[in-house]
Amino acid sequence: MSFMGGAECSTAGNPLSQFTKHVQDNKSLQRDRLVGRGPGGLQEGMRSQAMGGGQDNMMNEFLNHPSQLPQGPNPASPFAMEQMRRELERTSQRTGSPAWAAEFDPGVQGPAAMDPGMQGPRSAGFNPAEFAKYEHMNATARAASPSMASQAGMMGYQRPMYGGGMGMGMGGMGMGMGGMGMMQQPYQQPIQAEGKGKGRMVELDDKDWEAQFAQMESTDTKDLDAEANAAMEAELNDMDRQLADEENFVDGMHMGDLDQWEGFDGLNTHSAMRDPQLGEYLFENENLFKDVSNPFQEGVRIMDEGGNLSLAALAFEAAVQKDPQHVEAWTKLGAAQAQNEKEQPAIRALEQALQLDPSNLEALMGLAVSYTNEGYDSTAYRTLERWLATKYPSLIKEPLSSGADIGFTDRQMLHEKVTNLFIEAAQLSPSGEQMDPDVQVGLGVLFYGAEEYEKAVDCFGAALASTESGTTNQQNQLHLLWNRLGATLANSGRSEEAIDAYERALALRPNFVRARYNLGVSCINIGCFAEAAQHLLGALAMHKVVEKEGRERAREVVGDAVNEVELDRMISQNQSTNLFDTLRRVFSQMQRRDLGDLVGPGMDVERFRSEFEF
Amino acid sequence: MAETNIIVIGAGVLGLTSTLVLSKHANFKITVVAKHMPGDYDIEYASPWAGANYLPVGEPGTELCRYERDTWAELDRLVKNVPEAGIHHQPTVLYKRAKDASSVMSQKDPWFKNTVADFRIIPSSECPAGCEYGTAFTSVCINTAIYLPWLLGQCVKNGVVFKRSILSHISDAAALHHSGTPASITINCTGLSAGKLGGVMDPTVFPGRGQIVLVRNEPGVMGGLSGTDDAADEITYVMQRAVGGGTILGGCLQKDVWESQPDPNLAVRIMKRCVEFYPELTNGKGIEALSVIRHGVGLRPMRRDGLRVEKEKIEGNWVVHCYGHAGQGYQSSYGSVAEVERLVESIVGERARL
Repeated sequence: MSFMGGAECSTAGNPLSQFTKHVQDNKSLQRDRLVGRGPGGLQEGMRSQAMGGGQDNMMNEFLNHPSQLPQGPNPASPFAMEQMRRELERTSQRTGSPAWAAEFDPGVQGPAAMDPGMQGPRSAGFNPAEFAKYEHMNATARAASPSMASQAGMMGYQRPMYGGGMGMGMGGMGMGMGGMGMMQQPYQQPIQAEGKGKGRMVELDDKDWEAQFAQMESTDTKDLDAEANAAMEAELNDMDRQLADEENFVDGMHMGDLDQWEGFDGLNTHSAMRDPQLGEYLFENENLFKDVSNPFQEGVRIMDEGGNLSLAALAFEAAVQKDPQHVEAWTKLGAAQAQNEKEQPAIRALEQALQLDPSNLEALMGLAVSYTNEGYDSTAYRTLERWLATKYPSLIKEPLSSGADIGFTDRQMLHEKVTNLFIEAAQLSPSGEQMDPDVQVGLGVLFYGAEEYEKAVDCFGAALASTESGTTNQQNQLHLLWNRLGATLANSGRSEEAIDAYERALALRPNFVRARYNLGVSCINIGCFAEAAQHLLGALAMHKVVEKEGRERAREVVGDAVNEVELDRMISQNQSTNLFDTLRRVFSQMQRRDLGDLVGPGMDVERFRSEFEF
Repeated sequence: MAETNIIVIGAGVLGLTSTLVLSKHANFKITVVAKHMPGDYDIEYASPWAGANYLPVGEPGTELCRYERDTWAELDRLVKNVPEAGIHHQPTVLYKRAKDASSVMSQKDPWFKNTVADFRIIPSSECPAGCEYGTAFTSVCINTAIYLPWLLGQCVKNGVVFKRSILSHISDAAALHHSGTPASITINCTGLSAGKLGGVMDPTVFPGRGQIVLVRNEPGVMGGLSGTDDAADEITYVMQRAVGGGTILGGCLQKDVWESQPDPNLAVRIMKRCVEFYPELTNGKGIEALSVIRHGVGLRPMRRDGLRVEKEKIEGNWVVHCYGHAGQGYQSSYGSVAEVERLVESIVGERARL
């Protein structure tokens, strides 16, 4: 990917642009080297078990010549390497390997400035039993995931204090980059993504954009400013032209994500395929619960009884319309919509909850999952960081990541940082079994995001098996855990096992639309298209229950003057585009494009009953 | 987000259309590598030489027929909504000569008669001498000189990266992906070059040489004859391109002929035939009244068993083939590409949600 992340975007003359790119390229090697520098004499054992012998040479070379990076497996262009060496030589921190090496021995206090992430003495928070388990797991888990990710994972899991510092130190050097904190080719990514609500689309000017950014981050505004959008677009176009010139420099650069531009629909292309996104939650127009005295309670009851999720969502919508400050109603609305396979409304509702209560753990965790699903990985990681900071404030030794931290907008470094934090939180408990299951889930989401599925499976499995009482493993939440486990299995190619997990989830909650959607997805992946269609149509039918009632009520209200198409639009504010898209793809695979053409907002699910059972 | 890196080889009408359709998937990152790009005129690059128009020839029940049928809607939409794509509606008149055998194109009752608008039969009394009947309908004519760059521009808007490259083996393509990570899927849209590309080496592709004359005259009509008297491999057709693209006079279909230079005698015959059957070209005058822009030769990428759209693993890597469309590339483009998309989706699989 040749896209640049956030504030790493630089104007043509900035040598640090190549530097950062190269840091990312060589990350795997850095970590390989740092493996051996673990606590208490397990160096050799670790390395030989976990790494090939060839890493030793690189490690030695690195330690002996700290001012140079050895050529990585994918050597960058000579120019980039040269830039990097110059940068490295400039930094005094790079001298003296003993001091640096001492960083990673927990018994020794390293120079704090060198490694912002690792200050203070470490406890011997290393569980050999755990290590053995993960070490074995990691030896096999090196599959197709990007080399940097897998390295990060292994390191992160076994060596909480490892060379994340190295990476961070490098990244720290990248912090000096000027330039705008903008995306290079923002139209590349799913900016069409739907209303993440962080409408930071205000104009930044060169000089004090950092301050402006930090300010925006904290105010967390949702409103789009159309004029600012236009100005932004003009600037982005300029950036594009400049950066197009240096495309040869950015090959291989790791792509940050575009979550900073969430909600920005000023650029076309992909947005053409989806509705424009707004930050505000879009309410259904006709709500059955509007005259009910305590719709919140109704909603809770429906959820607990495993009732229809669309109905529950309506109840919670009524609740927040009655009382917009009702945080729990917002979080439950978000949860209901997510389970109902309506990610965008879920995100809007949860972000609203967070605006009212920035330390709401339920909203934070829910958002992290939703952001992950939508591909907003960096935002997901930052959200998890906030979750951890809220629940385990003592573990936070440095400011939380934000869009203004240029060095940390690199997704990978951010991922490492947050994973480390979660590992530390995990180690607060004396033994694995007593680990906070919510921390397990957070770790699972992190590994899932980095495509380290084996580890994620372990985490969700551990959360499920945990007897500790967390939020995520309450009895009435177990179906969510089963679905998460299933999704992780599914996305790592273990479709049959995934199906088992989904069945467990659906046994607990037959109306769990997302699990049914996932079941459909797994059927597609094993080639059972008709069955997949059945599941997806079944899921859509669950949405339809409420729409039908809503439609009748709406018809009562508007009378006969409005035609069916308009009526559809009025009662179909929040659709699951996901369900539609996937169903269309199923019909395409079945060579039934005629059926695919019938799929979309306002579709009549009943038409399919003649061909599919659901 | 799980992304899929895709490499497309070839920037002809099928390469560009495949890229455009695939680029609408947010999680597909696409690089196009090609020897020739829009703007080039070369004998190895067939697409710019085409008219092009929509005149289905696929037999019902065949893949080609299905793709032609599925392409109409999008071309029609582009005419109505996207004038900058360089396509316009054109009334088409086809004459069936009594001495010629029937074909899909000249049928009185072709499968596409309800696909296109206002299909009607012209009685022989209204046809030139020797013609049994004619068929008329409103089709589209594509100004390929505008359309190909438009396709490319639309791809660029969607984040596609274009690179010039000459490949000797198809397996070399994946490494050229702009992300630096090898592509996991390669789309092979190399047309006639599929016969000499390592790893593919399709022995059944062959050229169908077409010679044309591009003139400034504007007859306001598209047309064709079911046959000619001059030679078995010569044909007569006229198509006026959109947005000032000039009018294409054709032509011939010479199989297994690789000659890249126009044959002056053939050019004269083409001009004479077209002027004879479509006097609107010169308002009744002879070929001296034609204002020639250029003469051209294109090699239609033909294939013995017809077009090939299928997936295959070559040296462990997924390849989706899309070539061999002969003279039906444009008119079956979107339909073929829908199948390419389906094949790509079947390789990529679906993603579960946490």
